[in-house]
Amino acid sequence: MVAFLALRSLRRSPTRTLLLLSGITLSGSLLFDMTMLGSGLVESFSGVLGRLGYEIRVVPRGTLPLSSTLLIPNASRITAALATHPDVAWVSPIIATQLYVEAGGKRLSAVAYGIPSRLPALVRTEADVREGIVINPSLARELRIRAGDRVRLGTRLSPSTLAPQATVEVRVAGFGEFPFDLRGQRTLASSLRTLEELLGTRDSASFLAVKVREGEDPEAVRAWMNRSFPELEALSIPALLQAVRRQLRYFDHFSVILSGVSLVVATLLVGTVLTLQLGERLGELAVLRTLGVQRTRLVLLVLLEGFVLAATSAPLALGIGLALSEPLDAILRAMPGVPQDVRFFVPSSAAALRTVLLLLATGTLGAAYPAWVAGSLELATTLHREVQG
Amino acid sequence: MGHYRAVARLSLLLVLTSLLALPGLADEPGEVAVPERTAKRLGIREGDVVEVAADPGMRAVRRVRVAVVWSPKEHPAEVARQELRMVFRLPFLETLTGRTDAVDRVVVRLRPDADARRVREDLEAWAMGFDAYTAEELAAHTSRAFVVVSRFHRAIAFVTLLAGGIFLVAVTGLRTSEMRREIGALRLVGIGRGTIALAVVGIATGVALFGTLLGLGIGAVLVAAINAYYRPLFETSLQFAVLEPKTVLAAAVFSALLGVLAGAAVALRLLRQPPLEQVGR
Repeated sequence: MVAFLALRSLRRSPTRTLLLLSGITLSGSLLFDMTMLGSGLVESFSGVLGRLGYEIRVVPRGTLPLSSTLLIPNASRITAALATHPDVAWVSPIIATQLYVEAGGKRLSAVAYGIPSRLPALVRTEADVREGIVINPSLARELRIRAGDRVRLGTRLSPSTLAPQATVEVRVAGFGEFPFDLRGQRTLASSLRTLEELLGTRDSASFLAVKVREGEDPEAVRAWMNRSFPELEALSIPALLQAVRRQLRYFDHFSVILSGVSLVVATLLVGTVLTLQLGERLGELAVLRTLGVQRTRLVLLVLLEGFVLAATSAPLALGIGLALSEPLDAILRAMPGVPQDVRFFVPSSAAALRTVLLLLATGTLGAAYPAWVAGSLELATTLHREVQG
Repeated sequence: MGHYRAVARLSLLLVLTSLLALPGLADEPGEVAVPERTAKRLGIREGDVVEVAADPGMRAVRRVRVAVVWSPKEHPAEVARQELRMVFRLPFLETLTGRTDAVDRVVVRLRPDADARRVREDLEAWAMGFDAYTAEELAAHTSRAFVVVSRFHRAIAFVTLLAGGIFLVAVTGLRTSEMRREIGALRLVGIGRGTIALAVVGIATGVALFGTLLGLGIGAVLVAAINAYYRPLFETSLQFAVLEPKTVLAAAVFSALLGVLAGAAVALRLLRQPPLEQVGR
């Protein structure tokens, strides 16, 4: 009976119910977006890092984990020493630097990785860096290069001649995608040996990639590396994520504040509208009481109205939130320094479930005050007032 | 009396600043100027002697004296990175890093009547291998992240405004429907539809403006709370949130507009009903 009465009451004024549903839906969609924003960025970053194919990144101690100009000297000795740990599957030295690429009379700067051939996850490609360089679509487009073309790689420009201090001619082996590319970034990967020759360095690396054996704990390996090599810093994916999370604290706080605001708006909306609506239904409720309906049932009736409103809005809120997240994500991804594979709003079943539960709680909580009013109705006074009115 | 501290194990961004006029940093090559945040983090004071090296293994250590600890103007884009900095004279840093006759950037001061954009174009045409920016372009470039965040805030504000509008229409609708009888009676005694519509719009606008006033109050408290939280967190004197007069004005204008629209929608609905029906006949 309570459910029947609740639905009947909501159907009585369709425009009002529709307005109420629209308000809760909008607040809910904002809540869903903020839930996605709060967890999505770290999830997305974690996904990109997870696809790299290694668990630990070793950098010179005190430098930034993802970008540094410092090189690790004696890379082969350290690589061999790190590989002695029983849980380590392999260790690879990698050079990351800035180079000039010349083709067709045009010279452009590009990010260059010197990698051994067995690191497919750093660059998704069919080509082999042992046969030449692998370039990303941005570089290919801007220099109009095709697979098989020959290009010239150059290092730092000489201040007197303004020409690169060292150059090497290489063949373009193919195209590839780099998961950490920034929007519009020009990137290439070559063999470690080519880059070492070009840079005039021997046996050094920007960082070492460490693959831990299946089932072993990367944190234990990381701790051992930090103890054994005090001049280096080993960072596991969770440690990198923690560093990223620190940098992106703003979005965490923003999503928490805005989630709170949308919950308060939805609660107030349900509370205000149901309270005002209750004023028009006091006579009806008093009659129900006279007919023998218990106080607790009246309380339940109003609470159920709030719950039903939130439950009806929930699927709409998820749909609109999902649709809204696309343009919002596009706005934020225009931010400089954001890798192109990273997304700010990542839909997940956990985010959807959290939103629905919070909305249901909000709808029910919003109805708490009018429910209390309905429950504490003075029968005689109300009926008397209704008859007089 | 200075004491030695090894500092290279912490992330230091070594800045080439032969052109910076820092009070207290003499032309002595072995002196360093340290921003307050770096000094605090490393626990060093003016007069201390610190060891610096370009490599994390501290193989080629040089000792420098902290000549001055000062509070530089901070750029909002750099605050979140929490980088530690030290400022050396150029020749000293060249020796330390082994880079001679090479710099990361060159700052050019123009004559007062010079056209910065034209000079930049000339510089770019003159030689390959470097990018030239005017100070304006550089400011626009470094603040791009904030422009994006501000665009995001505007998009969110639009959604919030929509939700607020719906709230207002619902509340105004309910309030005026409670006044249905009075409105019916007023119409029966000859009060014009325009006057009644104006009254309903007035009520909605009043509610909207009152809500805005409350919202601005909550906003002001939030601004204070945000600054109180983030300033010590990032060890900076920068303001993270500011309630500007134009924000107050925009909020007032939008809420008045919303009030008028919500009021008009409710008034239209109300006036479509015959007055006798409104008084219950």
